[in-house]
Amino acid sequence: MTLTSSAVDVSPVRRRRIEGDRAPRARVALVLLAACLALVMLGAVSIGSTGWANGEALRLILSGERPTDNPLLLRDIIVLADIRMPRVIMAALIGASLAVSGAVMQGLFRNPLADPGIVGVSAGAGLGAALMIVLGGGVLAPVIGLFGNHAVSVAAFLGGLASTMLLYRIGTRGGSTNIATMLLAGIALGALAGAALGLLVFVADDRALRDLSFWGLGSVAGATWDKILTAGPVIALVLLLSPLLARALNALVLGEAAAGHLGVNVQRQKRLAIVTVAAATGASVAVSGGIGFVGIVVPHLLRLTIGPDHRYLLPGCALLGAIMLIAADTVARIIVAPAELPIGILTALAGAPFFLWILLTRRGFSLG
Amino acid sequence: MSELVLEQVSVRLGGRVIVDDLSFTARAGEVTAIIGPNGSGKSTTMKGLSGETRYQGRARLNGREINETPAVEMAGYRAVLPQHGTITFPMTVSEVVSLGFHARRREPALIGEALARVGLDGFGGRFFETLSGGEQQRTQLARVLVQIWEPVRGGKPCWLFLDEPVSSLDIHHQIQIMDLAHAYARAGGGVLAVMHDLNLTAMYANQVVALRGGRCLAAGPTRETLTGPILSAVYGCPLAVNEAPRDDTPFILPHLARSSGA
Repeated sequence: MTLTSSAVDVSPVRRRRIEGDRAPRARVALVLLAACLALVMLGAVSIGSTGWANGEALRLILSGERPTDNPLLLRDIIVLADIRMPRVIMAALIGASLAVSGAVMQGLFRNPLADPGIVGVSAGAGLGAALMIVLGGGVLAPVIGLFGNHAVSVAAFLGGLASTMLLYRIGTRGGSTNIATMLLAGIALGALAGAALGLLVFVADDRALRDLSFWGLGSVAGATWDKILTAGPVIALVLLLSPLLARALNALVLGEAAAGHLGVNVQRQKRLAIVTVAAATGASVAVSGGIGFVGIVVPHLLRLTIGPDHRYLLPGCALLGAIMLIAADTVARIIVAPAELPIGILTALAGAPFFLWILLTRRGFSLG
Repeated sequence: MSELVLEQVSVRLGGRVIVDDLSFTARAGEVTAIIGPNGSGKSTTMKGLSGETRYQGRARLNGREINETPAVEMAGYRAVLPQHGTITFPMTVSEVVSLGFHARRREPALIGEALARVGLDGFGGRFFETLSGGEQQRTQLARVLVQIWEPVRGGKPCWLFLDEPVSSLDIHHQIQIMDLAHAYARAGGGVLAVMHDLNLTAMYANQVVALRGGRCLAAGPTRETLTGPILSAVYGCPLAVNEAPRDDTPFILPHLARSSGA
């Protein structure tokens, strides 16, 4: 048995398909998802409570012209450009960010059921946002002065960061993460955040109460170009940076010790992953409230089809998360038109049974 | 420069001294076995040398202090096979093996080569979780091999650290894997293995380090270390070497099955 000889005859000419390598399939899937996203965005902009949009309006928006002689066409243009377009873009950003932060968290905790919504990170981010909404006029006014329109987002980010770090600290001992401890700690953190939220509601004035309840339903209905400018850059940054985590998350599949043997700086990558999850969750919770289950369903579906390689999984999650949330939002606003359903209700309606299905079908699943 | 040198290495875990004042040298080109009873500090020694746990004292691999060398540099010439390896997400065997490319250039053809070498030819498309314990361990070994495929790279030896590499394998595959480790050493690489099977240790190790209670009781060439008196002291029970049972109890030795090298 010689070990050296075979290293030589590895010629690129003889490259054949490797059995069990799902990367080629994953690349095809990414292209298909991107095409699908483009179609869904176009469709979602076109359809709404006023029926299918005028193709002429769409063309005029893209060319930047505003006809002043046709009030009907002008109305269509306003609906499309100032209501639907920001809403679809916001839904895409939020969906992508929820799915990517779910995938990153699952990779970090080495568990397909970890999700910012379930383990209390969203609740922490929500508490941060609520603190700012309620106390922004009083005690926290200087923070508003400092961050202006971004204050709620910053508070949500800090809330998400604090709960993620607390969760990791509680769940991890001696370098290994105990999933049962983590999930239970998440429930406790969520309850604690809920109680604090209740206290805030108790002391809130009318304006803050309205803002809170509107925000708490989970919706992208309030999307404006202004809000996109606030949350968009954070989410875009997270989405662009997340591929940097892909190889470390792949190695972490083997556990933290083995990832270290493979050459991963485990501590640094863990910190980066935690900040990523907190930023993405914080930004999306700040603008859209609690939208659950996207972070579990999307990564799980993709793992089933293209495998767990994070180099493809993370961009795939961004695309499919965007598609799913745009689709859900479109359904939410036409199904009971002219009223509309909060999107959080829809994602929970579809996502919770899916979550149960994962629990039931996952072989050998254990909380420990 | 092409050695693993331990000088007065101690490892504490939770305030307790698990490895105490350990010194030995392992050379590239040889298989060095660490033996000892349960709880004698074998795996903890391995953890210290793998960068998982910090140690006191000095431990240099190819002249570099292990504690102070970045993980990514170490990964270029040291690969570690853990005692237990679990995988979270459903991955194919090929995908698990290709994780070994983390710190090096990706050479897809090596995946098939490595699988063939550990006796898993044609297993690439199977899901890791559907394999038997022994097949999973050999998949992990293939991953480790891919990481440091060339026993000597840039004039420096690469090192395989194996924590009980054959513990869940049948006798045939035990020999196959030990043959592989032995061949790696003969080609210039270094092999450090925690071993429980003393017969396999006698067959394949060039040097043996015997631990008891975190201390080194004996270290040296295999023939000088695997003696009745030393083994009896190490394991705390009377052991005889090269002595057939007095009654007619069958005893089985793996020596005939060895394919090469001996």
